[in-house]
Order: sequence, then structure tokens, then C-alpha cells
Amino acid sequence: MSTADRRRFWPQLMLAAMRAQLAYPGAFWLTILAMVLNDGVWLAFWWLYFSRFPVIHGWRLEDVAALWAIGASALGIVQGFGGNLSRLSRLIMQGELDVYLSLPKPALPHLLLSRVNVASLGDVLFGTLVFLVFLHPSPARLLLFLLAVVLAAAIFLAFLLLLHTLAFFLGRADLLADQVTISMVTFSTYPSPIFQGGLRIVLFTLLPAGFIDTMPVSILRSPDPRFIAATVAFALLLSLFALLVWRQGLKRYASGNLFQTRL
Amino acid sequence: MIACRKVWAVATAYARSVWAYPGAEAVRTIFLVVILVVFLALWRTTYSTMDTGTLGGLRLPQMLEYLAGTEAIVLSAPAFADRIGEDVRTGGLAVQLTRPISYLAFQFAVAAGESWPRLLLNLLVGSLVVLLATGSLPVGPEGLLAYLIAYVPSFLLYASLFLGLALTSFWLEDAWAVTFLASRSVMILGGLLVPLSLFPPVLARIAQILPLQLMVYGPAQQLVHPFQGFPGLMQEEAVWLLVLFALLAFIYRKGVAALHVHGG
Repeated sequence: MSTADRRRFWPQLMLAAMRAQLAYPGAFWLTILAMVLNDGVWLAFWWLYFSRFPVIHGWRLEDVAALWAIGASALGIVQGFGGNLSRLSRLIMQGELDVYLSLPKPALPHLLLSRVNVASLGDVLFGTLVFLVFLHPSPARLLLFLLAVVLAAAIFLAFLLLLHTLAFFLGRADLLADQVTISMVTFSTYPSPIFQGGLRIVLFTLLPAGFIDTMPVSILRSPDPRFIAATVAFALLLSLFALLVWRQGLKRYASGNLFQTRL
Repeated sequence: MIACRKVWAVATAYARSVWAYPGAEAVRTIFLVVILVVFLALWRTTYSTMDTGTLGGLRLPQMLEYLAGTEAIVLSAPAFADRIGEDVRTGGLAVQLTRPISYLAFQFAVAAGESWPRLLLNLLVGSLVVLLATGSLPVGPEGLLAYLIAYVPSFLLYASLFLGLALTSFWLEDAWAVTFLASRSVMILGGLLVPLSLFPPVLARIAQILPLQLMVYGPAQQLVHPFQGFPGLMQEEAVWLLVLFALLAFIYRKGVAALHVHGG
């Protein structure tokens, strides 16, 4: 395999995963539409809320729309293009990593990028639409929005990876991973000022949703270099820790002796 | 009578299967705890920002207990679309249809067996969160009784609507998108997240006309305002039950006629 071929491998893998989903175009677009409408329902909830209580600790409907735009885009990118991430603990538990471990490509990106989660692509579309329609896009704001999405995606990816790799150590970690994931997503979609005291500390450490739900104000509305630097540092540290745990976990991995093929 | 015994046998078998894994059921309640903690933070801030003790006729502990009641219903709701879609795709439906019990009665029995134990567990956990978070429990035996009585027809309404939508798998093979959208409609128009008393007037009127609020808002409101408007609620639920049962029977008849079972 030439160097150019090697470089092309990852985009080709993602393209193949996308083509596999596009084999059923009706279901593909219906799923995306359903997810856009699902996210829209949450925005409708916030519209209902703010129509009755216009300002909450300085947050307005536009800030919550920004929160949803950033959160949905980031989580959508991570779970959409890393479609196996949400199934990772099950794959580990059932000993289904063999097929990725036996091939010459790095196992983690290979298994993550081998599947596209269509519903999550709906999140990406929703986030993009909200930014374009409600958040007064300009080149400068677009850059800030992209920065927020990249940082939020890095935190989501590292945290979810860490969560699912618990399966190496605990065995059955899938239900726990699902519940903590939904908890992380839930906390990430509510205005940060409502969380005070001990809960606020938890949201900047154990369940790092606090970084994400602070972004609409501290990156998009009035960029705060200290917050951005702290978030970059946290995302890097969390990613390194997640990779370390993944490597340690792999040493404990036991094959399920399943016959699998990668076509 | 024999049919009732069969339904009871199926429901209790599925209820036992829920209790067989208490650890898994306990983990399922994590999300309930999380969402109630989030709601507590949101509504506590709202009450203090508005500098008021009552919103939509509810004090803060009542608001949380109302939300615990709505979440308990929705988080214990049956997942018809997954099960029926799987049966259609794998051909397992061929076996289901030949059971010595009506297919619809079997689905209702399974749903009841799975949902009711979960409802009780969710309500218990939700009320504990309210008690710990606010220091008071705004629900007494009367509220609990009114909630549970109102829940019976509301469960049948919910099950009829979602079973009817899941039966579209007979044509579509996968009814996920249809039921998903319906569940999201319940979230808003059913009063899952915000009580109807806080809706803008026009939207509140639309929600009142639809049966979705009878599935969630109706029983949850009974939890905090026991037996208030109770006869009207039961009457409305009975009328909608007749409508949805008739629709369900119609969809089932048409669906079975259109069905092609692959394998089994």
C-alpha cells in the first residue's frame, strides 16, 4: 500500500460506512428528519419556557438555541461518524474487537469510523440549521461556533470513550454507559447558571457537561480567553487519559472467539 | 373469562421478568434522578427569579412531584415499535399470530406487565428525590390513589396509540420514525416537561383538545391536586379510549390482511 493509499484509507472507510447507510435512502432521510424534529421539540420546550420567563440568570432563548446548536453538532459529529462509539462497551463485552485488532490499522479509529449512526447526522444538520437561522452568522461568529463545536466534540469523544472502556474492567458496563451518556447529554443542554454549589463542581470534573453548557456565553456571546484556554487544556487532558485507559483496557481484553468478516 | 386469565398470566410473567433483574431496573432509574435534579435546578431558579411561591397553581415541591409523575409514566412506557418491527423483519410474527391469545390482547398484557412495576419503581424513586431535594413530600395517600386510578385508562390510551402506530410496521417494516415523532409530541403537548397550566393560552387550548394530555398531564395533575376534576378526566379518557380502540382494531384488521410473513 503506497503512502497516498494509506492517507486515503480513513476517508474511504468513512465513505464506505456512509454508503452502507445510503443503501436505504428512504430510511436514511426519514431518520435524519426524525432527529431534526426531535431536537426541534426541545427547542419548542425552551420557546415555551422563555415565552413565560424571558430571562433566566442573564440567559435568553438565543443562548439556549446556541447551546443546542453547539451541543447537537458536537455530539452528532462524534456519534454520527464514530457510529460504533455508542456500541463500544457491547463490542468489548461480547469479545467483538478481534476483527479490528487483527488488522494493520489502529484499532480505535478503525472501529469507531466503521459505522455511521444516521440519527446523529440529524443532530449535525439541526445544529447547523439553528446556527444559520437563529444565531446571526458572520465569518467571525462562524469561527467561534466551529471552535466551540470542536472543543465540545473533543470532550464528548474522550468522555464517552472513557465510559465505554469501563467494559474492559467491569464486564457488563453497557447499561451504565448508556445512562451516564444520557445524563451527560442532559446536563449539557441546560443553561449553566442554574447549576450551583456541589453540582457545579461535579459538572466541571466527573461529568464535564459544565464546559459545554458554558460555551454559548463564554465563547459565542463574549469570548473569554481564560475559559477557552481552560477548556482546551481540559479536553487535551481528558483525551490523553481516555487513550491511556483504552490501552490499559486492551491488555485485559478477552476474545469472544466469534467468526467475523470485514467486507 | 379464559381470555382474562390468559392476559393476566402473560402480564404477570412479564412483570416477573422485570423484577428478575433488580440491578438493571435500578440503573434505569439513573436518568430519572438526573432529569429531576436538572428540573429542580431549573425550577428553583425560575421560582426565585420570578420571586413567587406559586407557578401555574403549583409550589416548587408540587412542581417537582408533578414532573416526577409525568416522567414516571413516560419512562415506564412500553416500546411496541422495537418489538413488533423486529417480529415483522425476522418473520417471528408468524409464531406470534398463532398463539392461543389475541395478538392485540397479548401486546397489551406484555406492555402492562412491563410498565406497571416500572411505574411504581419510578414514582418511588422520583418522590424520594423530591423529598430529599425539597425537604417535603407534597403527595399523600389520596394523591397516590387518584394518580394510580387515572393511570389505568391513561396507560390504555398510551398503549392503544403507540400499538396502533407500531402496527404500521406491517406495511413499513420499521415504525421507529412514526412512533418517535409521536413520543416527541407527547413530550410537549402531553405536558411532560411543562404543565399545561403554564402554556401560552392558544397552545393550551390545542393541547386540551388532543388526547395526549390525558396520557401524562391528566394523571400527574391528580398526584398534586387529588381528585380535582376527576370525573371529567375519567369521562374524557373513556371517550378517547373508545375512539382509539376502534382505530386500533381497524389498523390491525387492515395490517394483518396486508402482511407478508417472511420465514419465522
